[in-house]
Amino acid sequence: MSGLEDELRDTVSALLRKRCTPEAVAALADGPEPYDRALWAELAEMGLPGLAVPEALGGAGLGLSAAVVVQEELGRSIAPAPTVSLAAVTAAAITAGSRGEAWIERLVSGETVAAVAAGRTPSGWTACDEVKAEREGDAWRLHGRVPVVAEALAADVLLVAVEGGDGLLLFLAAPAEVTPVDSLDPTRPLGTAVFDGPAELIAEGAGARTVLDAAERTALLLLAADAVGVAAAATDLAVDYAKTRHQFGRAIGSFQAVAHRCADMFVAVESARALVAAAASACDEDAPDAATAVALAAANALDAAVTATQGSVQVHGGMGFTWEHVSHRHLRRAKAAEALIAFPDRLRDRATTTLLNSK
Amino acid sequence: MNPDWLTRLREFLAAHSGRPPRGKKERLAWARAFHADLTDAGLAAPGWPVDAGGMGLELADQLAYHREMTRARAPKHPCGLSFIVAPTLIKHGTPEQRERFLRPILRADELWCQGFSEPGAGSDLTALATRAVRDGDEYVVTGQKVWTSMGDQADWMFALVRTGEPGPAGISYLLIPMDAPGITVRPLRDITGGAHFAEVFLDEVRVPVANLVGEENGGWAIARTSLGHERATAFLADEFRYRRIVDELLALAGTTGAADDAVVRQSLARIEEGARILAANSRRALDTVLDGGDPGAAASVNRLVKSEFEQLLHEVALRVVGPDAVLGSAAAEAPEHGRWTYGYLMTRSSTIGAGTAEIQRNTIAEKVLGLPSHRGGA
Repeated sequence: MSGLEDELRDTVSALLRKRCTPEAVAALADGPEPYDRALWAELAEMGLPGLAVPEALGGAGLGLSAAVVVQEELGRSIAPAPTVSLAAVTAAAITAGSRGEAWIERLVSGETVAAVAAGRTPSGWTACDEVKAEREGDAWRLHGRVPVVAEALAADVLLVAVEGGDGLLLFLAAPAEVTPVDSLDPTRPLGTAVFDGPAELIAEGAGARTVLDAAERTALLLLAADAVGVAAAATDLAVDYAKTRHQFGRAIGSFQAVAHRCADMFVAVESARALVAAAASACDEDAPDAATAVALAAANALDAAVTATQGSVQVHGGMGFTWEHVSHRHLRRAKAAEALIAFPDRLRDRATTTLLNSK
Repeated sequence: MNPDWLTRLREFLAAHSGRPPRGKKERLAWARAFHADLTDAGLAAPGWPVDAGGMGLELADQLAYHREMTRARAPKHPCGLSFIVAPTLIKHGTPEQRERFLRPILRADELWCQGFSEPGAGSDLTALATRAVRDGDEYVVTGQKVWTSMGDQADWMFALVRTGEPGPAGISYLLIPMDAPGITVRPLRDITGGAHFAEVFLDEVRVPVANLVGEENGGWAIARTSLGHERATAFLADEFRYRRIVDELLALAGTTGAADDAVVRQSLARIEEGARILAANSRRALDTVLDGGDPGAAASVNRLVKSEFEQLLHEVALRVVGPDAVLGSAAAEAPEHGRWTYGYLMTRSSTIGAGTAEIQRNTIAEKVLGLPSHRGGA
């Protein structure tokens, strides 16, 4: 890890420790306003939205290797910040070339927050089936709704994937209305987006699939990093508890059943972190293997997060089952992440296809 | 080191290419000859200091070295245990010991076994009871060692023996010639049907005090540092070997039709993840070493991951092999000469040898996570 990444980690984690305490997260998650807009403004001020964006496009040019380090910290604090979606849309805008260019500056500055309104399958993103695109000369309009959009409530504009007859069409459009949807993970709120107005086409046909894939790959990578952070937080908490909670006259962490479970959680976290870092490098180097590296890292990290957060609830015993304890928030963030883009088993299947074809 | 080492290594490997002979004895002789030539060509021990007969390569170059050796399918050194005793001698041995032992180790002229485990001291090595009593300029050694890999072939044993009080403070590190009077070796047939281990009985075996490594009663610390060194760097070569085996398994899955099975596909992906985790973690441990840090946590994690990965790899392989997995490894029809069946059985030891997986978990829990000891106390 470079010194720069260490510095970034320290800066972000210092801010989050102050501004994103378990109490603050709980108040947001259980309250009417799902986002801390002041926190987001500070994160944007620190340059988070443009961290991985090349300098030539107005970003910091630090690559996804830096972005995953920061995202891990956001996951560790279960911070309600729309960075995963925003990074996905930014990757789409970059991959779309000239038609996406105009958007990059706004996304990088934090002025515009964007999220992805796509059709969702267990295997990943596709066109959403309840939205129609209408062409009027050079202009386009969208009508319809997307029932579930992650981080829609924080977003000003959505990347919308629509089946256009001749293939996939990708738009950036402001929704007419967004209404909240009850989410397994309130720290990553969901909304239903309704469209009834103008939209800007940024990609079509075969190119559109490439753009959507780039968005999905970036989202998966950051989601994986987020999962590592959640898993690490849950593991730390379980280990601390196992040191202090006494039963039968000893700290429960001295019982091998508990100690070994904690060790397994730790190994899962460390392994996932290593895979995520390697996948981020593969993306930054534009390695031919990058998509497979991301699929496997995401599958592994999502599993690790569920293992570690379930383990943490278990180690905390009855306390872990209560609403007031933070454990269920970790567990919710981990379990919802599994279903957010593509399930681990589908990611593994995808990776296996590529691996077998390359042998 | 002369920067043309890579060129010379490639030339050497090209000149020494060829398929391994069949038959265990022939393969051993072939591997010994290869490593003797490699040593004479100055192309052995990439990480050792030059004055110890090694190449003194930087870590990055060591990686390149191992990658090249794996690609060429060069035979592994026939005695992996030599590379536990050798770094110990380089660091703690007398000049005479270094002069006497290091070159024969590299050339595989002399094979070594490790005399650590005993019937009453497995994962808890500090309980060992084999006693060495000083008599003039000799030690008189009596006791029993077990799980001694290559015990029936080795010329030398590096052993931990009790020279003092019970516990770790009374242990010494001694080099014992296996042909000394009083030594009886009984091969131990194992789960694979082969005999990889032996029991070694020592009955008043006389060993010169000159064969003591380090101070008397200072053996425990020496053994621990050499094990630590071994664990930190052993993954360098493994990483490339696993990569190759996983690729071979993926290729096999493509030919047997197992790749069409959804469950097998999940398992194959997990194997691929395992290989990548080991590679990424060993790079991380390396980076830590390069930065002058202690790779302790990464090494502990890798050790546990590796032992379970090796087992999963072979379990998946037997599923990929399909109905023919019913065949023993010696059956003429056994796929790929029975390597996967044999490997499945052999890797049962991965979570037992050199500290069980349970001990590894204890180590992570106590040393890395700081959990209280399961032995009570804190």
